[in-house]
Amino acid sequence: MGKEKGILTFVIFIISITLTALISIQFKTVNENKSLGIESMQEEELRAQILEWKTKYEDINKKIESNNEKINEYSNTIQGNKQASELLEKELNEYNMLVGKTNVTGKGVVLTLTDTFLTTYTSSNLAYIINELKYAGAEAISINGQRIINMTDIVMIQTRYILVNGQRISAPYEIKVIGDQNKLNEVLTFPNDGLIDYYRNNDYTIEMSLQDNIHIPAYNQEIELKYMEEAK
Amino acid sequence: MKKWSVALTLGIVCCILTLAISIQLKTIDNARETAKLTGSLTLTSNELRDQVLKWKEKYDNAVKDLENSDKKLEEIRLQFTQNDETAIQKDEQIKKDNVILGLTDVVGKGVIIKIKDNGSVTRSDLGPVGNIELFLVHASDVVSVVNDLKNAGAEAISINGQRVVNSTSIYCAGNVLKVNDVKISSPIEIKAIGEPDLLYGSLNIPGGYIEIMKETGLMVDIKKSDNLKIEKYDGILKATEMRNE
Repeated sequence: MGKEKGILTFVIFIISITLTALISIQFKTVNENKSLGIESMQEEELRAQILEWKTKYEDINKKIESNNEKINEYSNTIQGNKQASELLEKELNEYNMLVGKTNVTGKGVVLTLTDTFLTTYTSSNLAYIINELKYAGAEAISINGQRIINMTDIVMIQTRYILVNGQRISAPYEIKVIGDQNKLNEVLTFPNDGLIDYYRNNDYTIEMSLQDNIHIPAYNQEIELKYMEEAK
Repeated sequence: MKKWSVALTLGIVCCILTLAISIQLKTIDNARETAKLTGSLTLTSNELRDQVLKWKEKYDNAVKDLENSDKKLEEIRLQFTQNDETAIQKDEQIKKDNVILGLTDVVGKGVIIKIKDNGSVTRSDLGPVGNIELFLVHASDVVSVVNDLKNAGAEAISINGQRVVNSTSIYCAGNVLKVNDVKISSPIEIKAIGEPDLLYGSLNIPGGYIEIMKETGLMVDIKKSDNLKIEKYDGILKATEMRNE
């Protein structure tokens, strides 16, 4: 009896292992196909994917290069030296620029939105326009002198005026954008579906001009972090 | 006797299962073969597939390299800030900037919002951008919710794992949305860190955007959470055109 039990357990054990192995292989196969979904992609789509990953890869490589440059610069200075503190200052300025805490300048476009008797821009319109500008590669944006940072909100108060960063603004709206002029121009003036045509076709007044010397002011409030902290 | 019949039954069941799975595995293989024969998997697209995987792998490796180089830079920066009070402050400020920019994983209290698609709904009374086509409505829904969250003081926001940073745009790309150029689709999960009551309350006000979405047939659900983790942005924030004055 004892021997039979042993054989039984053994057989079931072997079969279970085989089953588990097969099922894992199966899951893996299915997962592989799903992971990028590339099995079912058309050539055109695949080419787009290659370009996307390549661009991302190159962007990251550029950042690594710039990191390495900084590391070299630090290594070449003497600890506690004045040069080192200048370097640190420079680095801080770069980060502050990305956050929006500095005045910046560069090439880009300026949009002018005017309310008319028929059409009035709402806070939602402005929020969508900002979204569209970011899609077109905007690096810095301001509306009537209010710098758009990552925490900027745009809301409407009783359909009478608009708050940006909690500050009151009113029409006409001047939106300054610094970014790749070609890309901005191409995306925004795309026939029919582009931002400019779209609003014009709906009877809104919108003007755009390419400018080479745009000044965008810094975000002028303190950024306080009360609720989030860096994950350990 | 009874034991033997149990064993036999088990054995047969297992054999059938094994057979079924083997057949299944073979079927998948066959499907691939067929695809190859019919030309839907031509050599060139196979090469393209390899290329996609190759660049993806290169990118993944570069992400790791970048993490290492960020650490190295941080270390060397610390070396210079050991005894100098102003340097320490500047280093702290850089770290805070990194957190603000969305370049670090963050934790905190907040809300989780889930929005599920309802493709049969058309809306005519939205803003101009929302009217272009049905799918854009979804992008504008997300833009609106994100804007409302910022209004209620959200400090960090992610959409299906994609961190909302300075350069983030949300747009439609056929049947999917793209956030940070990454495809996402319904159900959309938006996480926000901030004062949970404030976020919850301000999104739920009568006539607020959540109510509008519910009325138009979208499935919307908000939950408060005491323990949210929001992942960092894994791309690069560009500053090629702008410079400090």
